[in-house]
Amino acid sequence: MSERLITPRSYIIVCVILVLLTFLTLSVSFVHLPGVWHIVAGLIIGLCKASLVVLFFMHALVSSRLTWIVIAVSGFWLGLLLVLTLCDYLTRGLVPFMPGH
Amino acid sequence: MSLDQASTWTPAERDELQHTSLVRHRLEEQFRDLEQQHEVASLGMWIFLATEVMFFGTLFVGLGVYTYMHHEAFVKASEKLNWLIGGTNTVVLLISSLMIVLAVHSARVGNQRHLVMFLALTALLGVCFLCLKGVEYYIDWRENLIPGWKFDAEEWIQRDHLRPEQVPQVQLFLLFYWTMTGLHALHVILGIGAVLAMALLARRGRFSPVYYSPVDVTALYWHFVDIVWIFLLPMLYLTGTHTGADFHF
Amino acid sequence: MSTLIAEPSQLPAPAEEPRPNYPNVAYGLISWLLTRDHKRIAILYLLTVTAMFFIGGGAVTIVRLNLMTPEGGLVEADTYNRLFTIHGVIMVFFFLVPVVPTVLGNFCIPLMIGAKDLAFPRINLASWYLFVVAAGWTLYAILADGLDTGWTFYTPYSSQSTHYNVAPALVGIVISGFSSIFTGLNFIVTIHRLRAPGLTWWRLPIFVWTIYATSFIFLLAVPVLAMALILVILERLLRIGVFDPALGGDPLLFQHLFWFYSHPAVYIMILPGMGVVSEVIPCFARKQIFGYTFVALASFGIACLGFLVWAHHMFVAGISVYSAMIFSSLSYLVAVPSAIKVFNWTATLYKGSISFQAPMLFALGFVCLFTAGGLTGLFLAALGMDMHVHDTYFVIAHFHFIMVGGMVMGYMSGLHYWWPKITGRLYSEWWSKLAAIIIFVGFFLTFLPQFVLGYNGMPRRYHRYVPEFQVWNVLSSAGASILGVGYLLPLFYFLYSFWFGPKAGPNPWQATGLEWQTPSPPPPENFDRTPVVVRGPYEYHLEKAQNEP
Repeated sequence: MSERLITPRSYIIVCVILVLLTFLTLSVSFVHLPGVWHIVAGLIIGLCKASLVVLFFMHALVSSRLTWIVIAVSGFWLGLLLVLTLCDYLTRGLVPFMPGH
Repeated sequence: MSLDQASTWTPAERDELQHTSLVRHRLEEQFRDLEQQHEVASLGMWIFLATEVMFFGTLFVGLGVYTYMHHEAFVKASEKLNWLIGGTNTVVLLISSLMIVLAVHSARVGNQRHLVMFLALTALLGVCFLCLKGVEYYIDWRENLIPGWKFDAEEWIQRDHLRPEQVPQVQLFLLFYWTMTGLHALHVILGIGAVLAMALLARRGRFSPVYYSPVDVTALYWHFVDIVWIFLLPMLYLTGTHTGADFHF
Repeated sequence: MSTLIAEPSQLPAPAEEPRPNYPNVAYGLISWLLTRDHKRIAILYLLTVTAMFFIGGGAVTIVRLNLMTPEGGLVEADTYNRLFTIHGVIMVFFFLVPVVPTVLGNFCIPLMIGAKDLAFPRINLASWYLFVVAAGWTLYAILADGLDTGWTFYTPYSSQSTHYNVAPALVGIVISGFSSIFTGLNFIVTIHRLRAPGLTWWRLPIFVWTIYATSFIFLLAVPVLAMALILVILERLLRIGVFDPALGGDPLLFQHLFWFYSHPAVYIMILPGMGVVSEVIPCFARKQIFGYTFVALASFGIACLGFLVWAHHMFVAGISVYSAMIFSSLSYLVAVPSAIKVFNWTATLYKGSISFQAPMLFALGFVCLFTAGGLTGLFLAALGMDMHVHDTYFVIAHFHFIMVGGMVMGYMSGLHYWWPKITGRLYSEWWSKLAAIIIFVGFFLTFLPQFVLGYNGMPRRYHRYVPEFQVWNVLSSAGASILGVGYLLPLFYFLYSFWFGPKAGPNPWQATGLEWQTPSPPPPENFDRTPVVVRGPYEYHLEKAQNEP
């Protein structure tokens, strides 16, 4: 419980921004983008929306440092799982595996 | 009490409230005071949400890996999902998040009526989400998008010009779709239950400006469920390019 | 050391009316089954994990008997597969992972930090119930129908080929995962928020640091395993190829997700043992731990680096050569914090006044065997070497040195160290030292030959082998029987001490630490008044200074 407060007005403004970002996500999907860019754009906008929810709705902005650490660690660890796993998939076939060579 | 007042309880009033029997009744013996109890409850929920990030995250990693491996088939499959209902559900959940954060605010300032009202609205929007989901699932069933149960391989080859080996990849995508949205829906159901429980307790006057941590903690969970959906939308529904022809019911 | 009720002159004289302690404050099964007291929950866990230990041990007894002769024959091949699966699943998920955190951690952590209980006592009890349900369910699933995939459940065998009913057993393990998550959550929140005034992070006993690091791993790794197993269950039930290459899936994805948990899991298993040893060695060397800061940070280093190395279990599975090289390098890196700890324990012993009571014997055994096992891990981290010894008895010997020679000895050390606190009784000194020596000798005889076997090429999980391996196998099985005797002994002398042992005072070992400032067994609320801590842990050198003229 922190004494710094986020006002109801701020909550409403954040919600409006979130809905607008949703419309943006949907609109972008109608633009013809090559290959993987739809996912990239979607994830970037998604990250913005998630950050707004975490900072304002979940009061991370006025929370303790420990809360920030929990948020950072969970995001980072998921990133670790993703990156190190993809590290295998993205480099398969680059060097042929031939024992003895 | 209007919504805009920052706090209607002075620190002195709040301290006095600490010593009432109502408050003593809520304080567990391993804690020093209610403030510590609230801090601990919040920290516990944040950490639980961290585990949920890894739990859902594993599905996202699997989806990500397979999207990388089978991009074409996954895009074709994604285009069949109903983006309109998906998008509407996103907005529904966002507004429900607003409702519950206003509920927490109401608890904090001691506005019992608003607290109950906002909690009820959150639950209502949650149910709305589930109804839209139900409609969407019915449409998916009608369009043969349930691998292992209602799925027509030939249709995919003819209509979307897929190669035969890509048909199982479409099924793989759909498995992820059903698992991820199903697991998410399960979390929404549990969330609605928790929110309704909070609303009932609030109606009985259980909460006050010095004791509202159950509401706060439930709200954190609800926001997390919203965030999962925020990421589900682009990864499942929007991996390909949509056209006006996709606008269908 | 604290400034609470510890002044001897203020303690009530023994002849006064005895105050209630946690075992006798309420009688009856229901008071135990509905308890919220962390100490009682620790005892409940003690009973459960001990039972699981002997069941898992029973399975491997039959395995080792079968391996006495080259053609096997004691059991059929299929049964053999089921037996080593039972051994692995039970020992990993239902003994090694939970034992020290749920038994010693549950009992000692609140006492060590001066708290009345954990942050969430009801969730603590729920953890135990989840564990019991999971254990019972999994045991039933494995024994009634059978499971022959090994504890690693590799796809596509587990998801498609095996005719055994994999899904129920996996459900049991997912449930046990939730038990672990709740335990980890409880510890982290407790250690952050319920420390006594004056107990800064740098005054915490190392055991608390290691339990914290272990809990950190629980929270981040277990959910990934749970989801990976759920995907296997789905594949079995729905026949959709999540991990089936013919249907677009990749069996290696399962291995990535599985080992993302299971490698950090081995650090879950060993870190609490390291924590115990970090308590026992300073006490029985009467010396402050050497390099406290480094030992504390190394616990965290092991927890974090342990997440970066999982694919070293997959070097021959078909991952790309580049990622294999990355994981190999990272695996070397993770040895560093472990080595720091070993150096610091050794330096703690140097010029200490060492006494060889049972806890110390077990702790010294831990240091010796863990180091040996850890070094062989470096062999396995080398890509070229791993090609040769992967899936042989070399790997089995490596992890048993660490798990049995390290972890179980660490647990024994902790059990012997805190038994007087938990039960208020002292056990037989002679029998406990005998058990320690028997276990040490039995261990060496069991597992040292397995390094030879593995290096010479005997594969693991085979029910029969070529005749030239027989000598080593017989030695190993003989050692296992000695080891079994060594593990059965404590059952007898501990139970004996429970009823007939002499009463232990609050601090029979003259140890530092808040848990030794309460009576043995502790009262339900742990402390009369919240202690205030003004000094660091392990202030044994101060006692020495006081005793010198």
